[in-house]
Amino acid sequence: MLKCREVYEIASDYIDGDLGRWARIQMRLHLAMCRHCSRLVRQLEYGRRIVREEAGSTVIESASTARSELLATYDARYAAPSGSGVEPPAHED
Amino acid sequence: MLEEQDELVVRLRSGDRHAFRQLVDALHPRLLRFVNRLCPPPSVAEEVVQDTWHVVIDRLHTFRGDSRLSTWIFQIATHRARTRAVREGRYAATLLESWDHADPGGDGGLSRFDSRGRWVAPPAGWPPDDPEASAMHQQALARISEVIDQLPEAQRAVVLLRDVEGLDTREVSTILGLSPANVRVLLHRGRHRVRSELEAVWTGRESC
Ligand SMILES: [Zn+2]
Repeated sequence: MLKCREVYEIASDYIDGDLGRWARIQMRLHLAMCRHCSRLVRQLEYGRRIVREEAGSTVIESASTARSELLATYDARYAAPSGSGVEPPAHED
Repeated sequence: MLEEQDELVVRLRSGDRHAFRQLVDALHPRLLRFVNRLCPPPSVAEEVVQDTWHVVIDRLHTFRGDSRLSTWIFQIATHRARTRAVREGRYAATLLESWDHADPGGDGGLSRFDSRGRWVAPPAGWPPDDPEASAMHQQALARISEVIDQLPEAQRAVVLLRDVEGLDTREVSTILGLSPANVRVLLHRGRHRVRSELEAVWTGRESC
């Protein structure tokens, strides 16, 4: 039987499903019988969800020119004719 | 999936700007929100990410496909973010060498248990069955951003990459240059710290 202290040490791996089969079975046995450790696991799972909810919904506005500048840099490096690579075509249309 | 990625890399190297644009659209917002938590404010984070893309464009030919392309790009971004943070005087330069030293102490976990491994201060009686439906959840949400920002740097990076960006332990270990075991330890510490701060919100007590 796992001790509560041991459960504490592996609880994070447990909620990721990263434990081996034997440890997982031991963990389930312990959780079925221990109210404290069951709470611990539910709190960790909730913590993981709320971190994702908050940080994952963060949107940082990017300067509108950033994307076009990157595309231009990419084109200059890969798409332009070999040589200096920055000459525009002589005629448009 | 790897074949798909190989094909993408070939297209990127052959000047397929549509492929490049798709890559930027998919990754840019994620890189920005991640870097902003390592190296704020947003104006600096944006420079770092822009810088990252320039490195990606420059070094596409050196990408060997040992990891996923997105992992490789996150790795570059993390390195640039740390270099920049050091330059801004946010971290001591020696920390750049290893993330291990950037993680002071443990989680205080041992003091929670008696000599026979039983709880001394067991977790309090939260969360309820459907915590997201509770008014306390809004308070917890209001607090969580600060909690993340106060995590030690290495824990913060691991928590964000694993729990927000959804990368697996191996990818995170590549990105941060840490062993998978270390990544798991840092994740354990970060999550327990988050848990203890949330406990303070849910119970109205000081965290310990
Ligand atoms: Zn227990």
